[in-house]
Amino acid sequence: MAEILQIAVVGHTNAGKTSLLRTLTRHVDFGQVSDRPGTTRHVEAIELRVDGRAAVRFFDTPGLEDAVTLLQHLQLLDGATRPERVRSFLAGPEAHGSFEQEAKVLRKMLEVDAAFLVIDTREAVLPKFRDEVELLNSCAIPVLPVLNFVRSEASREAQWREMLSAGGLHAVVRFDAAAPFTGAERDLYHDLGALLPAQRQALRAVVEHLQREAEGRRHAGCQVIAELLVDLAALRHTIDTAQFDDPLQRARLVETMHREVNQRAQRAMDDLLALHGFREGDAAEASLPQISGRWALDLFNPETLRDAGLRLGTGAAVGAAVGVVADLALAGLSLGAGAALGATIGGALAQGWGPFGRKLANLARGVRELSVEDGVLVLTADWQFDAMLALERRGHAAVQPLAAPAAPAAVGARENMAALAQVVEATAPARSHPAWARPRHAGDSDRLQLVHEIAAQLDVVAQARAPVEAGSAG
Amino acid sequence: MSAANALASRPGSAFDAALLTEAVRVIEAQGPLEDGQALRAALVLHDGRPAQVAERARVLGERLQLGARLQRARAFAPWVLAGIAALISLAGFALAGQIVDAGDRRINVLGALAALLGVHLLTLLLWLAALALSAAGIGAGGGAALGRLWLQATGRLTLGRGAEAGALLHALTSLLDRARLLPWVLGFASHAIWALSFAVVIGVLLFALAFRRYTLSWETTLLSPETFVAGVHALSIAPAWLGLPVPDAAAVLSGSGNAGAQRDWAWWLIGCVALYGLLPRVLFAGLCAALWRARRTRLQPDFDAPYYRKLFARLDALAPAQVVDPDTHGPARHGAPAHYTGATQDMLALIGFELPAELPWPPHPLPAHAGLVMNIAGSAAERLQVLQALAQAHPRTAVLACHAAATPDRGTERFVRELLPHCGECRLWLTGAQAPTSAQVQRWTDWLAAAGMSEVRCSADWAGND
Repeated sequence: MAEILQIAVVGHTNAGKTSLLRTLTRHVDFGQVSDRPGTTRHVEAIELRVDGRAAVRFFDTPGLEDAVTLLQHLQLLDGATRPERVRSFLAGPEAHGSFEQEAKVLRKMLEVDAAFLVIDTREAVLPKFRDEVELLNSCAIPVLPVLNFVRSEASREAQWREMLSAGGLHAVVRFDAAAPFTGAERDLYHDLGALLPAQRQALRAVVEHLQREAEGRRHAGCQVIAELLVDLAALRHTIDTAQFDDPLQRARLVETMHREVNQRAQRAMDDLLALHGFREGDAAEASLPQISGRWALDLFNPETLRDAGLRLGTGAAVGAAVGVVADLALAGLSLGAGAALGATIGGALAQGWGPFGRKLANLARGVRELSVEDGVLVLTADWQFDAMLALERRGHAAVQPLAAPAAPAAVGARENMAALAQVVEATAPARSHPAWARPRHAGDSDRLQLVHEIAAQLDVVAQARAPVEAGSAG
Repeated sequence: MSAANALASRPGSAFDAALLTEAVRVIEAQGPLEDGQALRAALVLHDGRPAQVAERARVLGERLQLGARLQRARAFAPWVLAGIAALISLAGFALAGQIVDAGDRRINVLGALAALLGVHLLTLLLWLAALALSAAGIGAGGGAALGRLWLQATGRLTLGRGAEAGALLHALTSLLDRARLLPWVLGFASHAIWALSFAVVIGVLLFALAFRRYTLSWETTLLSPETFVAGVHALSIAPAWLGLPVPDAAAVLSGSGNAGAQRDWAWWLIGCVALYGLLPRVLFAGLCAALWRARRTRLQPDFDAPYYRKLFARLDALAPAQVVDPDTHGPARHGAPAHYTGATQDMLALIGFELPAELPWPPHPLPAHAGLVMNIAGSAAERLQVLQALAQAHPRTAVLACHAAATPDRGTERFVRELLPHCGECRLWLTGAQAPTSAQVQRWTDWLAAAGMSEVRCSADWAGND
């Protein structure tokens, strides 16, 4: 096996070292992240795996806290070169005394190939930070500063860059551990490659792997949404007319159907989370601005549906269908050939005569069918889609909510809805296969083919909105 | 039978692994299995994600007895195939028996041939048509009804009842389908069954014709004799290539003929069954087996599917973090801070420490007795300067102004400790561009307590410090 690249992650206390590692390794549970100073007290190793094999080993280190005094102490020690002085410090009593934490960092620094210096750019550039840079430089290995919290208003990025280049660190990477920039991860490894020419090949492999992974996640995410859409389009509850005419029973049936649809949507959301390395239930904490508040939201809220209709505009393909949710008792559901004949005729044209014929037959038998309206499908698609894109851009780091970044949804929201409406239209064949909604039929080859087609269409829409980039974390 | 064995691969092979993996996926479509231990074991045992996922499936499969079922199915599959072949042969004989007149031992040659080959040729054509259609992308590969029968019967007879059996069968077909091997594997089973039954039929024909005397003839009500001559002639072209005796036109027309002509008829019948029955089935079975051999490496689950992606993400998240340099001392390891016990001046020393440059300094209004006001960024030289000034002045109170938003660190702790011996009392004043929040004050207070300096009071309120 090739030599594993070893990287120490160092920095002042509470700069976000552990957060950075969580995001880089997509490991929600790694270490302890908190606001308290000096949360990490030991050196902890974690691997970045490429195809299941360790490619990079990161070392999370305690924070440097007392660099000013330690640097003074180092100057008292013997040694012709700075690394020698560091060695004699590590051999001396203070390495286990008042500088124990710093000693751990420096000991690791002497063993690894390179170091990421994580910097909280909200902090003022103080002499202690200069001394930290000086101390790290004494170990004579490449150090790549990683500027964290650069999106914050309080960020002093320019001052930091000036200080770092005065300290001899010219290559600098901006990387927000909680909400990484598009391509930030790629830049990180690319710039590291510039500092470590011998490892450039290995790092390129890592970047390629990350790109493949990102594409794979996107692809799988689209498939999850496609499965959901096909299932919801296929979903049917048959009821007989007598049941439907009794308002109490009808309310219960509609409620059951609503619940089932919401549950399916929730499961898909959980799948999306799991795909991106989050646990179920992390969603609420994942504080995704694009989907905040929608998590527990009911797809059938008439208010929401009307909003969706407005956003979609009247010209779009299924706008009418969304607008026609006038029958509040049914909100979001269609009732066989009965309730909204206009919408059904439009639907039947899109769906071919098969289902229409079945509807007529059902009508004759006194049986009616509840199915999910296209408007609800568009809404579902929109939410899941936003969630997927948001998760792609979400680090595995923060414990506190993000300041909302400019939501990519804001600009192309309408176009996006229209594009998704077209995708939803493509699920029409599923409407004539009620069996597809059942797990037993999940493997039907016709269903799978439709799912793959829908997923491919979603992929195109997603690509237009946000091209896959290795480095959007998540 | 050995051919069917060759089709099913050796135990523990990649095929088994793929099949178990896929079967577990099908089972988990109903709800996830508890797999914590299986995942961890897989992570330790194997490198590479597909191998890890396969190992997980193996462990879970053991619990569900998927492996045992698979072994049983593998052991029984050839016998099921043989059984179906026996049934087909029997059916063939039953049909042929209609043509053999048992009383005076007359065999209607062409009738017998049609009975023996008719169904076979029809199903062969159907299989070819289905293959052509599925190649053109229409239909999901029909045909090979016997192959399906074999698969279903094997599943029903050996896998037992329950969701697991269905999952295994489902997994098998979906794997084969994905590798575009399904029509070929089912085709192989069909052809093998037909080939076996033709072998039996030919054996029985040889036996009967060798040790008994039959009169081979033809009869018709509807067709003309010329049609028969032409038909026999056309059918004889291929046997003639192989050097089998061919009845001539005269013999055909005369119907029965002498013993030599009878022998020719018998050989002709056997030759036709072998050439038009056995041979094509053996050839097609060989073709199917060759395709299986060529494509069997394609038998892989779709690792891009969300199910496997989710597993990969979970596996990655499991990668163990190791503590390589543990924390041995724990947080508290400092003696009580030293204090100044001598006489102090009635003076307030105000020291700004590591404050951002943009904060206004000195604060307004300054207390009247603020005799010593300094602001340092925190370099070693500056610290020394402050300490020297304090050592000369010995103020009663030293107020250290700190940036509330900053993280308190051991550098600050050391400086506070160094201040204490030079003043009567030391306090922290937290300041910043915005008024410090109570959470920030609490954070500093906790930190002071943890550092063993609880006597140093900490406040966001300037007045509270005076």
